[in-house]
Amino acid sequence: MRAEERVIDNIGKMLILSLSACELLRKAVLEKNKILLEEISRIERDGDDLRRSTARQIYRGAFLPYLRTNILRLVEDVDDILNTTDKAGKYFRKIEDLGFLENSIEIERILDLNVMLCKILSKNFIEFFKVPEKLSEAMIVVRMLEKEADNLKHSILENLKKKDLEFWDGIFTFNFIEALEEISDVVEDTMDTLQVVVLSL
Amino acid sequence: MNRRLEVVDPELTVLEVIEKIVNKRIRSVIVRLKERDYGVITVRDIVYKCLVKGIDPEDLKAYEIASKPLVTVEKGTTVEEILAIMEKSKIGNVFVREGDKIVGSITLMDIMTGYLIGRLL
Repeated sequence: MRAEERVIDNIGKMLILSLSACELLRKAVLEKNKILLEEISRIERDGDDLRRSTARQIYRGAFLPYLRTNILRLVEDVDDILNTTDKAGKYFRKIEDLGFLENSIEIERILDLNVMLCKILSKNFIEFFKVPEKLSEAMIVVRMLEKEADNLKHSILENLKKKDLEFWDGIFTFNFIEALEEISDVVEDTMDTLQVVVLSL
Repeated sequence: MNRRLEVVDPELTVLEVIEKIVNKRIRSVIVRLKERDYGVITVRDIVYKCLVKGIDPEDLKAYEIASKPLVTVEKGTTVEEILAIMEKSKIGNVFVREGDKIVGSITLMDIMTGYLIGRLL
């Protein structure tokens, strides 16, 4: 396998990891199963290994020099999806009063959106290089879903304001919701970087 | 289907409805007029029935601008059937009911998003 192929292969693996992490986060939150969050941290560490290995490949000369900056940025963006998912999981672990989850269609929807976004990215990653038009279409969808996640976050925070929460639980719940929405932001950033890479190739 | 539904009191002022729409970042609210009798207020209703007429939104109640009847479809209705209803009624939003209960809504935007996602997954 050529060095370039190894890099693309590693990014593909990182995207699959990010999908698994988002699916696990969804399951952990909806089932209120904090043990599953350990697995997200493990996945995040696997992602770190892949990021370091990919960076090494690039350092050793994979891709033409003018492409390397953006390829590395893409790797870091994908890694950021994993970091943000792990961060959301860590905040969730700290929340003691999970009452805000009762009847929260909106939180379930953000979790679904994050899974959907990662699925779009991981399933079509290789295809995006071959058919750039598909990437343009995916970018529109990602932007729409990200906007929906952003709207949901604001609505959740509006409802949260009415709840009587213990100080630290309030902070961790707020941070958890912020991180949950940030995942969709990071996926959007990844798509933007991917577009630059595809255009440069 | 969008399961986020905001049901408001008919006695709310239009300004309070605007506040809800803005704060919750939604496009419409359901107005409970009587038991099992609902209307809907969209941004379109607010603009055409209140603002462009120069009426102060604080002087108008939600029930006065709510559109009726609520166009609903049974859960399980196909997208094609929903699109036909939307085209016939010249609306971009239908509500989904399960028995007597309204459980969600579907907009043209949802259908477009669903179609595009379907092409990618």
